[in-house]
Amino acid sequence: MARWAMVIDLERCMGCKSCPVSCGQGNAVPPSSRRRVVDCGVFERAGRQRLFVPVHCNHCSDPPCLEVCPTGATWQRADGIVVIDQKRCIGCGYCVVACPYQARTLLACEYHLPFGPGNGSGRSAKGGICTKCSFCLERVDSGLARGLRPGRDEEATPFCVVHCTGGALHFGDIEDENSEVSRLVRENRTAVLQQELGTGPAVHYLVPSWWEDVLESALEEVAQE
Amino acid sequence: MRVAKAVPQASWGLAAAANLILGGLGASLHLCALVAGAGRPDLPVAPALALAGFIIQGLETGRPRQGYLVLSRLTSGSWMSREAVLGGSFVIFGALDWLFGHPLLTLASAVSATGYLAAQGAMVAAARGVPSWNRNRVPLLLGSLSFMGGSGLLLLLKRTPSDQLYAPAILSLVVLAVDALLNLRSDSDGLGRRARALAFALAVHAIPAALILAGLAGGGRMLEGAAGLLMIGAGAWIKLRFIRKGMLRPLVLTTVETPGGRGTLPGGGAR
Repeated sequence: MARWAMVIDLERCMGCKSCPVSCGQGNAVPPSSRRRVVDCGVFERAGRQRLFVPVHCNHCSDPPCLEVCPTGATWQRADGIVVIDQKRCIGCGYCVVACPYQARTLLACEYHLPFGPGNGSGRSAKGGICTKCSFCLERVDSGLARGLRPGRDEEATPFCVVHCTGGALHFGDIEDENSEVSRLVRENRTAVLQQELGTGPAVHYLVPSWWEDVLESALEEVAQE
Repeated sequence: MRVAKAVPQASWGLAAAANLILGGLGASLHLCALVAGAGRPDLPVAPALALAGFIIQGLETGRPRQGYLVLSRLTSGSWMSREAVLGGSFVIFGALDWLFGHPLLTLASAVSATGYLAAQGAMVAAARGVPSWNRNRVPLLLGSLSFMGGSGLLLLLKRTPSDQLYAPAILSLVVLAVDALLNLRSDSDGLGRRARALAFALAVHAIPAALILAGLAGGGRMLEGAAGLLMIGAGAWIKLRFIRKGMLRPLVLTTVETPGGRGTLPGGGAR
């Protein structure tokens, strides 16, 4: 069974925010509700390099959001993708406070007036419930059904990866030794978010060549504070 | 390396705090009345408070009409499901106990009230995204705050004088004072903050305790009423601040250490 994972090359990410925009467009959700790009600022010691860190659901092996969900709306597929069942989510917000990655968002209730232009009646399908990155599972599944390979064929790959202008995002099966994500993690120095919590994130970051300088800058900032 | 600061959590607001405050107040009032031997209540205040908490909470959820789905994960581990079921049981058994006063109903309402209080604390403590909530002693803190409010409410509502009424109030105040001291010790953000915390701890623990002691010494109904009001207000206010001031965990990026040291294979970058 595949274990879908994402690898983000921090040296290539230039903070253009095409990933949250394409995600919002493709999944019909507000931009930055499923993913965002954190601007960590300019690091003097690293030759005034600027570090951007894209952040979204880490599709953990042991997801803290899953165990707290009171309705079973959050569940995990065998391939590791953590999914929200829109029909079961009640928008209680428990998963938002349980997620250590700041990766979940409660969407505001949006009522469409029955007589409004171009709308049906009642509430919009995604209003009032929680949303987060799903690794564009519909694209992955439909691509697999057509014999495509997620991560290599665009139609089977998440929107953010396809539209990443810097080529910083990579997607694929990390259990497959020959996949690109597997090779990138194996051959490079990597980092993960919230490692101390032991949730087993499926999002890996390739640290830039000037990483040591970034760390030293960060330490200096802490010392100054 | 810290890539994103802690930000205030925004998904649990006033309604969630109201559920914790009113539910805790109702369940602890019921238990305090039983422990203190205050007898059967004249009014179903305790279950009504818990019910009001649930109704207010329902207003905050995005899809309240699908609320029945919380029953589906009772056995698989969500503390919110357990809280809902135990709280619902307390509302039902508490109301039936008020109506019929059967010993079995009293027992059922007491058990469900205890479970409800425990589930409330465990529910908050299970939120791993908020470090100040995700601590072992949070259930004890919230439970003590509930008992402080519940015993304060009992002091206000009591019909007959009884020294036993003071027992739960004093016990909860002692537990809270210990917790406040522990917090004070771990608070290293500066003397000003410590001084404020100390002043606050004195205000919410020492003053009610002094009022209760004065009441014990025959100080009269007014002093007890003042102590009761202060305890209810302080308990509710601390809970409200505790929930609303919760901060989401900052994002920390840590390099994955490998046996090779730098994590790069010989010969290797991919770029």
